[in-house]
Amino acid sequence: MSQTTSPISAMPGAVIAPVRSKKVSKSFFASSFARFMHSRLNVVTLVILVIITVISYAAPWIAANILHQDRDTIDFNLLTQGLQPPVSPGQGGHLLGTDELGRDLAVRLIYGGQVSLSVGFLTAAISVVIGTTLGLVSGFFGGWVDDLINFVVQVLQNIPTLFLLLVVSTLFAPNVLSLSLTIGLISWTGGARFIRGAVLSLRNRDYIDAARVTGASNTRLMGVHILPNVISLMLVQVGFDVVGAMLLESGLSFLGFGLSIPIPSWGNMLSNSKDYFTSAVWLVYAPALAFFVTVLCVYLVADGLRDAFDPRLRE
Amino acid sequence: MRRFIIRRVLQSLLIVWAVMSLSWLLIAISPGGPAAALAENRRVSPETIAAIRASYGLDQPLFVQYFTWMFRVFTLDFGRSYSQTLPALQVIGGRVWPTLQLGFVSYVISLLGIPLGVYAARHRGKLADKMVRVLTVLGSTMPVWWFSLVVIIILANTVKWFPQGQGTEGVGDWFLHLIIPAALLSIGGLVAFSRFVRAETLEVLNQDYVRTANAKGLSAKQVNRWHVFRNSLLPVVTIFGYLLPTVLGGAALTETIFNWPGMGRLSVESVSQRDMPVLLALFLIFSVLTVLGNLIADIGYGVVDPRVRYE
Repeated sequence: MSQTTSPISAMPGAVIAPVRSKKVSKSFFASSFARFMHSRLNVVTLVILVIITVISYAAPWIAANILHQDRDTIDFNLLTQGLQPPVSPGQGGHLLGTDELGRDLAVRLIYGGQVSLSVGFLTAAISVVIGTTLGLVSGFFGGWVDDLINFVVQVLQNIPTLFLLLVVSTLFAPNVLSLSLTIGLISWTGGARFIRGAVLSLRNRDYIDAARVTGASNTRLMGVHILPNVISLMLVQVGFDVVGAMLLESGLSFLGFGLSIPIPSWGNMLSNSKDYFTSAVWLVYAPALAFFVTVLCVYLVADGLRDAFDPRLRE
Repeated sequence: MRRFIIRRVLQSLLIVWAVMSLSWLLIAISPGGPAAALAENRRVSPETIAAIRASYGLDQPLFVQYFTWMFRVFTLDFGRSYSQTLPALQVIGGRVWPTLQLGFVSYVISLLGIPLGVYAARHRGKLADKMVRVLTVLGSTMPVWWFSLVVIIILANTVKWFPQGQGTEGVGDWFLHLIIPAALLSIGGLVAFSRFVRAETLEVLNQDYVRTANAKGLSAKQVNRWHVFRNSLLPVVTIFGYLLPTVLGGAALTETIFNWPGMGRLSVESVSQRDMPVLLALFLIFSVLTVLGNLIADIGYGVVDPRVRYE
């Protein structure tokens, strides 16, 4: 049991054997998390991300109880006050002002965050589940299964993602679910390759052979003995998938193939704002800042996780 | 080597065929088509619509349509564009050269990522490295389309000019119109190159042979030139294959923003107009390019790295 795996020879994602000592040694995840929290940048970005997520998902409550505004209601009182939408921040009882139709910008912004983050999270979840499953199967079995999955991966990677999304968006009006599904269904290929590479180096380990000798089935080998060792890779992949999905959603919105009106998303608010760069600059700043800070935080958290999990960077 | 190339070429053909069939199917089941707009118009009789559909072969069963289409593709006949009464290839033909200009120039700019990555790796943890990291993080989290709009607005408000389409008044004008979209388009590649090269260089710097080279008294310059660069730049060949479709496919947004008359903008236009023949031809061109890029990368890797052996 006193296996001595030196940190340097350990492969990515491998669990480092606990060293017997009087101190209770930490698990791989606990020690990685400690390493993650050791960096101030990681802590800050994680906290900001959590705050933004909480605010976005509490949008209905915040709108009703703090801002007292509706997402899609056009404020006609503005006209009686002699204000012409878009109204600048602070006027007519609107914290961040209103958009060009007279709808409260603050409320639309937090609802938009909910939509954008949902697209990001949902897409990442779909893509990572497909990617991990197929990567696991293809790396574990090899042979024709591997060839087949590789073929599908190559076919998907051969179609420019944006084109495919444009065509698919003509099939049905995009909503959060359909958009996430389509992005998720075509963006798993990178993750699958990544996981497959890790599984290839894990499947010939002695502990796998030992488990097989004791009678573990293939499913058990994959699920119980290999999967936990690639979870760290999956987490990192989720982060980058969220970033990719949010950027794609914004690009689609700009081309006019994104989520349909009146659902606000940071992507379509951003692309909407392009006509107001000079006349109503708050319409640009608010979604741009929210979008950029969020994507940046997700990216930095994923980057930090990757470093924290990387056995080569361990002391 | 020859067997490897033959096998890879066959595999690539199979992939192109699969991409074509998949995109054909997707487009065939999506709504719209040459008669869809006319069907809204009450004055157009159903017979006329049926006649139009028949003239494009859309009254046939799906699998018949598929085989006729596939057969025609082999003779490089993609049918007529629905929106313009020209053959699809002719419509695309006019767009190839602008896209190639844009793609090539932006690719050259993104090659600047290589010295950036090497420099960052050699000064790991120092200010230069951190600056490069900040730039790459910004480059990969900022929506490039939005950044392009900001650039346009800044230009419009300061110099009262921004690039719109291709320059027509001489070389200088042509260059000005080309360089700004190309620079913005190159951001993705620049980030990819610099990150990749940085990681590779760090990897090579840790190798035993670099330590040996240092130990036997070579100057830092010599070690870098003969032992580090040559090895760390090897895998850059592989990134070429991935970048080719990204540069060309990602151009859809940039070309739309700058009104650049290229294939990327054409693809967006064809989707809006449901111009299936043009769209399918574009899919084929892009997938052939991608497959070619990967093929060149695979073979090129074996050429530059003698350790790689093909089965």
